Amino acid sequence: MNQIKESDSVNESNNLDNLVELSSAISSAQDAMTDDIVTRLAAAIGEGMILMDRLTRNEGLMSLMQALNEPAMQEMLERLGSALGTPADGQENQDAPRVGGYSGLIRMLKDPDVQSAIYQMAGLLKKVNNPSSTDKA
Amino acid sequence: MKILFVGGGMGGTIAANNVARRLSKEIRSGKVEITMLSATDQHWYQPGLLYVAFGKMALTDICRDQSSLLEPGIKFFVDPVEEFELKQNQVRTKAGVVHSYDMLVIATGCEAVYDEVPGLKESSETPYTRDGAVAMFKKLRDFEGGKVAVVVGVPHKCPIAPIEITFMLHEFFEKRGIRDKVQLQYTYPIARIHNIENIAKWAIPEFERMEVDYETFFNMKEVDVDNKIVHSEEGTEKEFDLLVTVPPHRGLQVIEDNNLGEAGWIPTDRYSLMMNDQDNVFALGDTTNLPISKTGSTAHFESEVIGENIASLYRTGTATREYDGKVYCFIEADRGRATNACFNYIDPPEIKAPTKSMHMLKMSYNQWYWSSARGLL
Repeated sequence: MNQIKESDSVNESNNLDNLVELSSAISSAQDAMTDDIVTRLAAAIGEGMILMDRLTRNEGLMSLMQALNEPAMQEMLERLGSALGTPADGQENQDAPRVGGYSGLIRMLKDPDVQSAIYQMAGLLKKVNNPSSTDKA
Repeated sequence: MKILFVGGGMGGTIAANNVARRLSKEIRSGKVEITMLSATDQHWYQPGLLYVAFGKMALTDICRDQSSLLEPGIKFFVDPVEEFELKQNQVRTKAGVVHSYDMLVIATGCEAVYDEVPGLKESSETPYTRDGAVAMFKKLRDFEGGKVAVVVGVPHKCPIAPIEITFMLHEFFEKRGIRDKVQLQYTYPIARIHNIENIAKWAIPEFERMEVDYETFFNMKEVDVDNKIVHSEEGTEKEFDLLVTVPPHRGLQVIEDNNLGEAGWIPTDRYSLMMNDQDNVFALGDTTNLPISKTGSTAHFESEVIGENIASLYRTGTATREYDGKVYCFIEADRGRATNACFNYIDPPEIKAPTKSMHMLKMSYNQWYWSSARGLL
């Protein structure tokens, strides 16, 4: 009795038609597939699985991902992206400095922003080299 | 702890990767060392040879560098073992190098042998070797009709192969439009057409539909090469224009030479997969003397047990899992369809009607095998 009711319910809501339609679509897709198509798709999926497995079991990469997810790191990445896309202030329309070499480099090193960036970079490299070190540099 | 794998085929590779996945931290810290010794730097997906024989895959599709399949940290050497010195917990290789171990896994596999049946090698085609598979395809491509006989030696790898080869021969000739010119004859060594009863029951109506003649109790004795006749131990014979064989197999000679097992099969506990009378030596895959199917899936499922148990033995001193005899085989049928047989020590297989979906799954698995070898799938 319950089965009849369920069957009526399926008919009333057009579910049966939808199922037939879906089944027909799947059958049609199956007919269209060749061994070559299946092989190529499966190879791509297989290599993808292997890649994902390697990436997700790489503890170094996972640790890096976790660090990159930190808000401060995201902010820094945004600044980096912005800096890469925009020339330094006031430099947009200028030609290359006429005086380069050591003197130009020394002038740049006097810039407090550059000094701060070098300080942070040095601190980072020190931590990579010795993870237990603190920021005493 | 030193864990040594001898053999880099399907079983050895999956098992080594399974252990390395479980003990990756210990490997990195130097507490565990995994070494694999193999006779070759290549890894072949052996079930793919059947597809090579029918022109559906190329040899390059079924081969990868062995080192590319191994987990980081596994030391790999192409240097086959010649002497097993189990009492000293060490092996000696062809190059004369001694490798000591705390745990040893022997996965040397088995190989086709023809010397038991005079005339068989020179007169038959087989998909069981690389050269054989390529040669078989060339023969099939040029075949224009006549008597095709399928003959089976025992024991052999892949229990389903005789039936599967017959189905694929039928399909191949049908697609070429010469099926009516081919008399397809199937033989099998025991009283029914397959040693697994449910597979035999399922295959008979399929054979009848495909008009395949079959004869049971046909054990190859010799092949009359000149007259193209196979003689059986039972006194019957089969004439052929094309002879396709599933050759008999033996374990490797090195196993027999070291008195590890008669005919190269290592006596093995069916549940723990420990070599009998040893407490630190495992055997798996085709190498064991277990009366179960010699297939890649057997080696695969055994490898999971061995991987878990070696890790568990290292960490707790106790093995945690037992092999239940699980085997899973795809069976290619005709008309782009396939089915499967799944069974274990207790439950026999129930064979369902072949479907296109199952054939697609098999074609997919041929690609996904490399994930299996890495211990992922």
